[in-house]
Amino acid sequence: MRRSLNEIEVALRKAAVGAGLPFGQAEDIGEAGAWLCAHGHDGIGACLAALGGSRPEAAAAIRLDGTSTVPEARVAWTGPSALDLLLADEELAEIAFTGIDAPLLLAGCAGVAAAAGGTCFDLRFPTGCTVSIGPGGLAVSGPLPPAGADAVLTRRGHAGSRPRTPQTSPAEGAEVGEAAWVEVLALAALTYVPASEASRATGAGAGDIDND
Amino acid sequence: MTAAAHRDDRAAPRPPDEVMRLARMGAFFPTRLSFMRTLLRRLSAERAVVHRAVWEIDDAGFGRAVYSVPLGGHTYSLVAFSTPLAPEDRTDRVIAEAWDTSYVLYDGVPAPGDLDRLQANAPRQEAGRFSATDLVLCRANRSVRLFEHVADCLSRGVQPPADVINATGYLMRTTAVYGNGKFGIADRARIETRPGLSGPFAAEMLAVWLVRGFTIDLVEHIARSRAPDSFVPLDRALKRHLGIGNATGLGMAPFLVSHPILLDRWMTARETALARVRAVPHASPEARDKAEELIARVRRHLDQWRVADARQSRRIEVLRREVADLAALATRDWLAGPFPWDRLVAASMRHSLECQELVVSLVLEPNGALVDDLADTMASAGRPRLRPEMPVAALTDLVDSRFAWALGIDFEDREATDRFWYVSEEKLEPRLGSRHQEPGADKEMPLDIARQVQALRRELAAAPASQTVAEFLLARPAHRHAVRRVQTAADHPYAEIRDNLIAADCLPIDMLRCKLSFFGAAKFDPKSDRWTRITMFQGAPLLDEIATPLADDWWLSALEGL
Repeated sequence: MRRSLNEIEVALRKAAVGAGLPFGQAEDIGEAGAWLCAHGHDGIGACLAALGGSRPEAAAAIRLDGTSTVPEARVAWTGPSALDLLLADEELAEIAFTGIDAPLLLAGCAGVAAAAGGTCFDLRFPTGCTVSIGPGGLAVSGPLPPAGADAVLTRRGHAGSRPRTPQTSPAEGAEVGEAAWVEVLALAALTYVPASEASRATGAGAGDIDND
Repeated sequence: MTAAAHRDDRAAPRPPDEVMRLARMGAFFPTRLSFMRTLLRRLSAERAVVHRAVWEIDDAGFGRAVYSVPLGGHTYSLVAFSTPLAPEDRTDRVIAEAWDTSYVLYDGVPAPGDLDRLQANAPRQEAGRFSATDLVLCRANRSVRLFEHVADCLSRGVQPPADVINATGYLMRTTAVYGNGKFGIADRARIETRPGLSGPFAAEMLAVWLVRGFTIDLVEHIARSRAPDSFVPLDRALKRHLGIGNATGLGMAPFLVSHPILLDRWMTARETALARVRAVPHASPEARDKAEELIARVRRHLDQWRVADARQSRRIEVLRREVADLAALATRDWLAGPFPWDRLVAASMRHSLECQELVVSLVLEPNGALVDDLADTMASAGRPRLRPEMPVAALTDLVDSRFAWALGIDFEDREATDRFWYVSEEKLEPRLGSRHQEPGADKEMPLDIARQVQALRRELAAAPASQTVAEFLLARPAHRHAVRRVQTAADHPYAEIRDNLIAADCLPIDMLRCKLSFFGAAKFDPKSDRWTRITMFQGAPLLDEIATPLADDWWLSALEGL
């Protein structure tokens, strides 16, 4: 079914909170998922791949000779911060990730950063696959490796690349599979508070007639 | 203070510490920068003609209709459905599953197939699905007090009494107006660069204005069908006094918090307009005439603004007296003196917040040429972005300078954390709970901005001053939201409501009134501290009057002869 991008972003943000992410990171993950959908990619699947499991024990990137490394990369937890590091330090040329749980979502996080700041990125995998990310979208050369792959994210200056034309107009929304959507909504539902007698009586400020 | 310093001060916008307080925001009135006004000015400037392309309504008033209007080079159509509704099913609450009428604002002119698709979905509202050509989805219920009364009067050949029209002020009341992608309708991106619809909530306001026209056509149609020989059309002045009602609750309240840049744009435009007007050294004779006329109109409006809510009734009573004082002071001769608008604003400062904010709206009104361009600055300029390169020392300075109001709150006091905002599983709508009495605070919505910033400030004190925000957040991801808000406030001084939104004494109704005033709503009629009735487009031009001078002269309208 076609979902609007706003529906997608809001649902993914809630799902991320439901999965245990702090709200500020959930905002980024929701935006990254919607950005992927807007550009013809499976942003829903990418987010779901990243939202399973528990919070990683060590979410720190390790600075080493001009390169930072993110081990056992849980993108929902470390993706936004890795992008922050790359953008904050001009001397930092690249960040290496190992065991990435959701490679496409990492590209989505970079895509949001690219769209916001005009920066371009490359995400290179040992298989030879490279994802080129710019403000207008992303282009993938070769099959995108599955979860567990290693990759290096490189900042590549400002826009000038020629990313693939988006398959879906941002104004049109995106097609979303029902099974994945149900999974997103189930995570989002973890943020809802069940009704109680008190909430029904006062939560919305009822107490006066509403039909005259 | 020197004269020069006084002039400088007069020309500066009011500081956020003064403006961004809930009590003041909850006293706002619509202005000429409000979105309804902006939209109708545009339609009027384009001399738009509304065309009723479809009218398939039966004698009982059920069926469908389409109204099309050109705007900014595009054509938009309100598709309206009127359906039978049992009295026991008529409610403004979210639990409703059926309504008297339902609507879609369609991008273009709908083909018969589109009409059939919408007819299958629009009456179901949240349970339906919509397409990217559907810009706005809404519904409205008849006013039990007024709709049938007006239909009955007109069918008998008599006009309904003016006081009865004024007592309600609308034939129908909307209970939700959805935009921006809800239930599959178009994302705002589809229209955000279009002339006429690029402003905030412009599509929603267009839909509601057209709905108002439909409600008037519908009541006349029903009355005519009942008794064609005795039917008389509704008096035009009475029609104009009929707006569209709306019941607004907590669903709207978090919006101002979750859209800090947009809030800043709205407030900046309003405060810049005020500063410009206060700096006017002399008012033209025409402006003085207009001010005198407006003050008289305001007094009639206040006389006609009657509500059951005890708190608001007291405020209106006070306001009537205060405006009477100002009316006696602000004569044409008094306004002929130097800096008349600034002196009027200054004179209001000894009165209530409602009076002060009423005067803000009042002084903008005769000065459209000076302020109307600001309406073009009120759309959002993007979303909050993190600045990861910022050093912790600079972030700390920002917290201390922009959030001093938050740092001073004692969150050890139970009253300071008495409330929590949450989304109800049952209704999927924001609600407000009592933290110390109800479960659910572990799923709290992040509207506790002051508390989050305090927690951030504590962590910043322990971090190296030269560390970047990127490094800081890598170890402390829980503060990402607060950091983003603090950095946003650096360039957006009016981005934050400077009050504790989880305090026991927080009144959500103040947030509602602020937002609704920017829409252009009036006749605020609180039903509790969490929901309110309002009237939209009361006094506004009718569908066939949009190209007349009346189109931009309906601020705080009043019905003559009451």
